Amino acid sequence: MLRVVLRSFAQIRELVGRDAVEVELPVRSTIADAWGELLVRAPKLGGLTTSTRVARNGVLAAFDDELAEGDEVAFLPPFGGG
Amino acid sequence: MFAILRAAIDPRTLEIAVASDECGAIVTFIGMVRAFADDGRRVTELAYEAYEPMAIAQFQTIAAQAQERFGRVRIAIAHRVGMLAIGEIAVAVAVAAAHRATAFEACAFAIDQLKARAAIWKREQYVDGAGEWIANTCGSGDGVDAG
Repeated sequence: MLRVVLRSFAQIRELVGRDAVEVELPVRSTIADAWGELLVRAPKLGGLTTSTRVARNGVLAAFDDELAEGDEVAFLPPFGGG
Repeated sequence: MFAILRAAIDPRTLEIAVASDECGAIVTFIGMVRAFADDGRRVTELAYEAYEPMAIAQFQTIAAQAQERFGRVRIAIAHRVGMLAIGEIAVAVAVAAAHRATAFEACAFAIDQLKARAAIWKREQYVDGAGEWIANTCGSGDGVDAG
């Protein structure tokens, strides 16, 4: 199993209920699988899937990227800075 | 200077950080909290949050790209997080260059890029108690990938 930390922000964080969740996933799991873990906890997130971008260890990544032990995955809604 | 700040931004601090003997111009953009949303609703306050390490790395990338495009420019970027009242400074970008034309262009480039790609989010709180996360309508307008 892999242990990874899932970070979420803004409207995603509000639906998840917290800004960081640690989960265990099978080896070779992808970022999409990690997103699936959050969907189980907060099904309403499904409506945000298409607008959500992802980062792995602080760098933009893709939903089909594989995870490694200790990764920090961040789910990023559309940006609103400035 | 690239910073995510919980306390008030002092633009002068950024200007001092970018000033140098080679630079005859400093242009500073200051983004303020407005009392009205784009749809006219009355705003009481804004909440900003950031994925801090990613946002700061993005500020550094934006500055490096500005240097590639505009040559010798010195850039400082600071963005506030937390609850902000009307009239407070949300973001400041200071750019120093040898001459003003370059400083103006590089400053516009940097704030456009920040709005398009920095991991920062804004929630508008309205006078009727409702609130909404507001996405930037990106388009840096110059074809640079928002990623």
